[in-house]
Amino acid sequence: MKNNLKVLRAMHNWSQADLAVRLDVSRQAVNAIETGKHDPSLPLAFRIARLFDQPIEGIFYDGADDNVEG
Amino acid sequence: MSKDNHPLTPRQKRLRLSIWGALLVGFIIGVATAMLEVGSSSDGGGLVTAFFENDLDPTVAIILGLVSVLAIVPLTVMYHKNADEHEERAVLWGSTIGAYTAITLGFLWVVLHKGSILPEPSVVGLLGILCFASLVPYLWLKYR
Repeated sequence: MKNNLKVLRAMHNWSQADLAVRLDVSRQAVNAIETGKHDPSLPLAFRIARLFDQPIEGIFYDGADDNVEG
Repeated sequence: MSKDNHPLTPRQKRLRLSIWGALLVGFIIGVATAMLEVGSSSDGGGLVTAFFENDLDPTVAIILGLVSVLAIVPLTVMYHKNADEHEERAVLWGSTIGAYTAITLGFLWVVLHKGSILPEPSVVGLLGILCFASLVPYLWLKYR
């Protein structure tokens, strides 16, 4: 699953550590989510969405459209 | 404070307390066991040699075993209640791979021992294999 977390974090001028503290997860967890190595659980995805005041689907997407040519 | 200069959250404090607590208990029990073994041995030897080779008084062994279990169990519960989901996933995969490795190699070791190819299987050896095979995938998933 892909996401816009890095962009949203940059818009708030937060480091990965800043975001980790706000979400109460480790910095490694934030890095893993940003790079698509870890898909967050629904509760964590909701926490992220609430923090950035966005719907979940505004932050996370499955990347299927990336493979469509046209 | 973390190395990122952020104050630790209560969850992170409890997580670190559980990890350092378990390491401390393991260290104290290990050193105490080795020192008692050195004290009870006539041929001396270092702490590491004593830990692996010398015998321990049964009463002392029961006391040390009880203390280690009574300390490690609550610390383990505390760790799992405070690990975040990324860490839990690393632990899950690490422990699964470790368990499969230890079971497979343990079975292989027994079979090869029956064929007089390897010495008698060692519980400490299998525990070492379990720990190593669990730690490698855990660290890779946690810090890659």
